[in-house]
Amino acid sequence: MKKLLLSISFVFVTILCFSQAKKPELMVMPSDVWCNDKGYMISYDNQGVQEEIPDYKKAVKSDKELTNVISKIGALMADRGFPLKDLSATISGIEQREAEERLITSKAGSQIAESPLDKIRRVAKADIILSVDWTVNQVGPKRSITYNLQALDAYTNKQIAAVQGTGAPSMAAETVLLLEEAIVLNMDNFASRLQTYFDDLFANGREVTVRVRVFDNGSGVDLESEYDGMELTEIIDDWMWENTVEHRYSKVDGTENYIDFSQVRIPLFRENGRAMDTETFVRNLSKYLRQAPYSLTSKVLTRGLGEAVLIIGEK
Amino acid sequence: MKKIVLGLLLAFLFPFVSFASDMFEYDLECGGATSKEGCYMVKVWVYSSNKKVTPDELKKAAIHGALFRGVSATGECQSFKPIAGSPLAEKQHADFFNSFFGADKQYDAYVTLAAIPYEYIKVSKKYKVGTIAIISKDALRKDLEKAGIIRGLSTGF
Repeated sequence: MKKLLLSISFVFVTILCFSQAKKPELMVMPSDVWCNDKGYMISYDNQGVQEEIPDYKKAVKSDKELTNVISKIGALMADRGFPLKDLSATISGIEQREAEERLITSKAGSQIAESPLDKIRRVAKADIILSVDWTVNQVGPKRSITYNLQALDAYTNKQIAAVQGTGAPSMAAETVLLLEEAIVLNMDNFASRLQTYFDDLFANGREVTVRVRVFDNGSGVDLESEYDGMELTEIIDDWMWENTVEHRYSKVDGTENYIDFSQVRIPLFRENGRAMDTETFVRNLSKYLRQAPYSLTSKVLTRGLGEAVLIIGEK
Repeated sequence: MKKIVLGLLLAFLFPFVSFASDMFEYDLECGGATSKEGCYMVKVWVYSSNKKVTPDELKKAAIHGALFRGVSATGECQSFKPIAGSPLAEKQHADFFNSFFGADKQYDAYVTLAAIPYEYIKVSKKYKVGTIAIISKDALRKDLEKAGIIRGLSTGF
């Protein structure tokens, strides 16, 4: 009897452990507009076109207001049981890891493998970006803060929560205090909107992006290749219909070489109760295409929890 | 026969009477800004046929409003959404809230009345009795999360 109870408890605890969805990572980042206003931009040559991107490293190393804003939002979110990923620490961590990995060699003298794609991907990233910006307004001796905080899904680019507003003008308060007041005043409403997004996620599945591509390897396989009278595009479309939550997904675009699916609602849990992410979801599609009559090899690339690319043709 | 009908009528009305007796008419509005983090100030008005309104009634109304009504934005004030989500939550978790607003006054731990004289406004045949209340919204939210009445941001992850 004791053994039976122990076994039942073990199964129950195991199910409880597994029934946790994958937690998205959130990070506060200054908005592009704010970085541009403050001059924290880097120029680079993109195939002959001069382009500018935000220089987050310079911003977090030199702007005290920004570090105060990031730590205040972080503290309030941690207070709600949702600690954030810190931008400054993430950038330092990436640099530290790069420096260490450059020096690692095997006994035979081999270095750690790194593709050009690995290099590009080594940037500060999160599943949900909390984009923040503010402006100090001055009317005579009075100053006020116009504050804007947006939560953006890094994979669907959708705005999932936002608060904005201008605080009460003050003659005496410093900018840091005005900013702190704006953050504290708006945080409840912001967290409440974020909560609505998470509630939707638990009710209707995680919304992700899935891309399908084809390797140009001369094999002749593309998305118009036919199997039992059906094109590969239709076969993939049918699989998406069968495997999405309430068949919710949109085919944004597609040719014989690519298909882009957006607003794909994937279940939060697999059949065995373990958490599901986009990589697992797309790997299931890869396994399906590996079976007869398709017998297709494919490669799966992921970007965080919410985006995956399936490249058909080879690994 | 009369007794049976009366008994049935009482049995039918009792749940509504006991539930409604705790609910008195009140208004909630923004009470200004407070520098105390995790709190907000509200102005609570309780309607009464005379000017006798107890501090407990004012506290109960303030917490009930913070939980199920929220506060609209006015002037320099931000709006506050109801902490419990919606008025439906009161019925969904009736056992919890009956005990919360019951005789042991659990709500009392989350509200303080400002030490100022009450305001009185005559409205037709009633009086509106008002004062400022400071609500410990963060503590209240956390305890409701712990009790499983509302979901926290990290619930389910």
